[in-house]
Amino acid sequence: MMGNLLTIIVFLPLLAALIIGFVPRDSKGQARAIALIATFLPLVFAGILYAGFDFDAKGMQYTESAEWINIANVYHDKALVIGYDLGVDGLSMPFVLLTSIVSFLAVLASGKIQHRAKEYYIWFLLLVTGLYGCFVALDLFLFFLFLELTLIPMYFLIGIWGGERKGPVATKFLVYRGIASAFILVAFIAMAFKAADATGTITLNMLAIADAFSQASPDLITSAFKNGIFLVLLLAILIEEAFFPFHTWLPDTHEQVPSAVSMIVGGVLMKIGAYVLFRIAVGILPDAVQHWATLIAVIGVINIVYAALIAMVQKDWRRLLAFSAISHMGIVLLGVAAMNQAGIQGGVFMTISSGLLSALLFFLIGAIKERTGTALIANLGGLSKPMPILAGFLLAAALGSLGLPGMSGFISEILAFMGSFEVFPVLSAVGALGIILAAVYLLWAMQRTTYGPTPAQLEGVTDARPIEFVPAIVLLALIILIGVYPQILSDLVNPSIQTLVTRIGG
Amino acid sequence: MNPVQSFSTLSFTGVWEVMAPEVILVLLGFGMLVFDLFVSKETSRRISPWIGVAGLLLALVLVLKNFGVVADGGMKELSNMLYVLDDYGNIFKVIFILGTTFTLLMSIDFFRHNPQVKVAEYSYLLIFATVGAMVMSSAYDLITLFVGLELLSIASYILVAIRRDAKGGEGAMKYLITGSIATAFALYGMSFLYGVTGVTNIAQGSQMIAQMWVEFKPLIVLAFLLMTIGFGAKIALAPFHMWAPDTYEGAPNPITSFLSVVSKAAGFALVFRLFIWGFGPEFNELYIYLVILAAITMVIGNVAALVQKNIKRLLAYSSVAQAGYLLIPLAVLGNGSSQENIWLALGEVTFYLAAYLLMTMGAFAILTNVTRAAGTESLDAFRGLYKRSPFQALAMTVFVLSMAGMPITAGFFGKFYIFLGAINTQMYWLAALLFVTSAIAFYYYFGVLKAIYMKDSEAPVTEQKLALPWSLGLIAWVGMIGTVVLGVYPTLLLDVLNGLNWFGL
Repeated sequence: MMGNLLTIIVFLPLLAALIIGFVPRDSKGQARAIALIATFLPLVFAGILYAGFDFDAKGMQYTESAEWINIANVYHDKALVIGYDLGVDGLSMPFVLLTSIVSFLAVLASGKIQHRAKEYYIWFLLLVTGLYGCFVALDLFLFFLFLELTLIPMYFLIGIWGGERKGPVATKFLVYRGIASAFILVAFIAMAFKAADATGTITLNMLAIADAFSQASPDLITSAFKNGIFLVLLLAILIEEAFFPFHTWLPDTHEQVPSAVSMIVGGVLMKIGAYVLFRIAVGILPDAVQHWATLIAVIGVINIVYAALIAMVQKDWRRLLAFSAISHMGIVLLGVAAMNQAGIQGGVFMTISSGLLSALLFFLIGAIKERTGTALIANLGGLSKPMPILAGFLLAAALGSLGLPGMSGFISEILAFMGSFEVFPVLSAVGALGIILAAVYLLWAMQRTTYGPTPAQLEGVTDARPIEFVPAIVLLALIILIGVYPQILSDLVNPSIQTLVTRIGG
Repeated sequence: MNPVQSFSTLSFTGVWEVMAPEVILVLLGFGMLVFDLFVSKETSRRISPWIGVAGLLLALVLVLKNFGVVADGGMKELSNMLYVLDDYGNIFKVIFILGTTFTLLMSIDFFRHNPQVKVAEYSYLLIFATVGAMVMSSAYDLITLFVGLELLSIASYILVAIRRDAKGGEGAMKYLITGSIATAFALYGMSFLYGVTGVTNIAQGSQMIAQMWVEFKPLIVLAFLLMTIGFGAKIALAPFHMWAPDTYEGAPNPITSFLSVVSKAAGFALVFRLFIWGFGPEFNELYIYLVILAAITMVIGNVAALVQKNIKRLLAYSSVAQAGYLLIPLAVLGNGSSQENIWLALGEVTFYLAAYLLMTMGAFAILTNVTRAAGTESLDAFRGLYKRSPFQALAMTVFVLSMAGMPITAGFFGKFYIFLGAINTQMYWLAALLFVTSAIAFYYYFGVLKAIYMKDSEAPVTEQKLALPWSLGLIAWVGMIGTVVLGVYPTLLLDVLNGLNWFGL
C-alpha cells in the first residue's frame, strides 16, 4: 500500500464521490460523513508522506510509473508513450500538504450547505481529486487531465451553489480557464516535440523534457523557440493565476461561491498557476524566464500596485480579499523574475502563505456573512463586541496578510524582495509600495468591520461555534508556524529550488 | 503509363469476394421493397426495421471477415481498381453500419410517434443510403465515387422529408438544392481532371497528374478547388455549410443523426482517398486551401453555435465545427506527407469518427426523448432534467462533455490525437486554433449542462419523471460506456487501428 500512497491520495476523493452517488438523495448526513472521511484520510496519508520524506534527496520521491497509452507514428515513425507517472519532490510536497489541509477544512466548513447537498459533495470531491492530481502528476498529459478535471466541478459549484449572478460567473470561469488550458496544452505538446527533435524519442514526461531542454544544443532547441513557448505558457499562467489583465474571473468567483468553495479556490485552485510557473516555466524553460525577466517583473509590480489600489475601493469583503490575493501573488512574479534562490524561494513561500491566508480569511468572512447576512463592509461594524472570537481571528488573519513579522506573509515578502532587489532595485522599490497599501486597505476594512458602534441589527449575533474553531486555529497555527520557524518549509523546498537554480543560464 | 484501360470480366465470385457486404445490403433493400408489397401495412411497420437491423448486422459480420481477407492477401480489387477492398474501406464501413444500426434503433421510437411515415420505405431508403456510403469508401474511380455519392445523397433528400410536414419539406428542399449544386461543382471538377488526365481511375489519374502538373497546373488546381467545394458542402465545411442547420432542424431526429454521423463520415472517407491518392505528391502544393477551410470551419461553426437556442440547430453548428476538426488531419498532410504521417492521419480521423459516432448517436437518443416529452426543441426542454431522470442527465452530460472535448471522454482523446498530428507537421497555429475554438465552444456546450442542472429558479418544464424507451436507452448506454472507455483507455481502439493494413500495405 505504501508504494501507491500517491494514487490513493489522488483517487480516494474520486472513489468517495462515486460512493456518494449511490447514497439516497435525502440523506445529507451520510454524504457529508463520506466526504469528511474522504478528505481526512488523504490528510493523514499526506502526513505520512511528509514524515517519510527524504529532505536531502533532490529528485522525485514516492514515484509510481506505468505505461498507459501508446500512440503510434506520432513523431516520425516513433510512438508516444503516455505514462501514468506520479511523484513528489520538495516543490510539490508543500502543495500536496496545502491541498490536504484546506480540502478537509473546507468540507468541515461546508456544513451549512443544505441545497442539493449530495451533489455538492460529489462535485467538491471531484475537484479535490483534480487538485491533488495536478500537484503529483509527472506526465504533462496526466497533469492536463487533472487540470481539466478541476474545471467541470468548479463550473457546477459556482453555477448551482453560487449567489445571484452565479450563471454568468460560472460561464466566465469556464471560458477563462478553458482558454488557459488550451494554451497550456499547446505549450506542452510543442515542448514535447521540440525535446523529441533533440533526443530522437518523444515523451510527455516532465522530467525527461526538462533534461532534454537543459542538455540539448542551442541549434536544436533555439532560444527563440523557448522564448516563444514561454510567452504562450505565461499567458496561460496569467489567466490561471488571475493576474491583471485577466484577473476579473477571480473576484467574481469569490463573490458568488459559498465560503467553503472560496477556501479551496483561494487556498489551492488558484495556486495551480503558480505551480505551473515554478515546475514547468522555471523548471523546463529557465533561460526563457531569464530572457523575459523584466517583463515578468513589470507584470508582477503592476499586479502588486494595481490590485492593491483596487482593493482599497472594494465594498465587499470577498472582492477585497480576492484583489488582495492578486496583489500578493504579484510578489511571486517579482520574486521568480529575479531567478535567484531567494526570489524563487520567496515565490514558493508566498504561494503557500497566500493559500493558507486566503483559506482562513474566506472562512472567517463566510462565518461572519452567515451570521450577519452580509459581506458588505459598509453594513458591518463593531463586530468585536458581539463576536470577539471571530473578530479576533479576523484581525490576526488580516495582520498575517499584511505581513506582520512572525507570520508567514512576512517571511515570504522578505525572501521575495531580497531576491528581487538584487536584480530589479527600482521595480522592487515600487513593488514594496504594495506592502504599505495592503496595510492601508486591510486595516481600514478591519476598522470599519470590527470597531466603532455596533449597528442595531448586529447586536445579538452569535460568536464562533466550537466546530468553527478547528479551521480557524489550524490555519492560523500553520501561518504562525511558518512565520516563526520558516525552516519547516525551506528545508523542504530548498533542495528542489537549488536544482532549478543550477539549470539557470545552462 | 498507357491511359487506355483493359477491362477484366466480372464474375459473381469476384464481386462477392470484394463487395459481399454491399451485395447483401442491396439485395436486402430490394427484398424489403418487394416484401412491403405483399404483407399488411401493420406487419410491415412492425417487421421492416428489424429486417433492416438484421441485414445490417449480417453485413457487419461480412465486413469484419474482410479484415482477415485483406490481412492475408493484401488489397483486393475489382475490374482494374474500379473498386477496392482494403482496411481503409473496411473500418469506414464498420462506422457506417454501426451508425445506420443506431439510426434504425432510434427510428423504432420515431415510427411509434409518427404513424404517417411509411416504415418499409424509410428502412430500405436508409439501407440504400448506407450502401452509397460504403461505395464511397471503397471506390477507386471517379465514376464509381460519384455513383456512391449520389446514392447516398438522393436517399437522404427523401429521408429528410419523410414526415411530409412543412419543416421537413423546407429542410429537404434546401438540402436538395444545395446538395445538387455541390454535386454539380464536384462533377465539374472531376470533368477537368478527366480532361487533363484522360482517365477516371484514381491510381492512374495520380500518375497522369504527376506528369501533367507543370504544364496544366492551373487546370488541376481548379479541378481540386471545384471538388473541394462540392465535397466540402456535402460534409458541411464552412462556408458551404448553410444548409446544415435548416436541414438538421427539419429532418426527423434519427435522420439528423444519420446525416451528422454516417453521411459526414462517408464524405471524409471519399475526400481522404481521393485527395491522398489522387493528388499524391502534388498535395503539398494544394493542402493550404484545406488548412484555411479547416480554420474557417472551426471558427464559424463554433461562433455560430454560440447564439443557438434550438438544440438541433446547436448540434448542427457543433457538427460543422467537428467537421473542421476532422479536416485537420488531411489538411496538414501536405506539410509533411511521409507514409507514417498518413497512417497517423488515418488513425486520427477514424478514432475521432468513432468517438463522434458514439457521442452524437447517444446525444440524439436522449435529445429525442427529452424534446418530445417537452414538446419543444428549445434548450429549455432540458430544464431540470437531473430531477426528472438522473440517468438521462448523466448520459447527456457525458456526451456533451465529450463533444466539448473534456478529458476522460473519447471526444477529448480524439481531439488530442488530431492535435498531435497537427503539431507533428509543425502546423502550430492550426493546432492552437483547434483548442482555442474548443474552449470557446465550452460556452454553448455548457449551456446544455446549465439547463440540465442549474435552472432551478425557473421551474422545470414538468416535475414528472421522464421514462426512456428501451431502444433509446440501449443507444444511450452503449454510447456512454463507449465514450468513457475510449476516453480512459483509448489504447483499445488505437491498437486495432495500428494493426490495420490501411491500403493493403
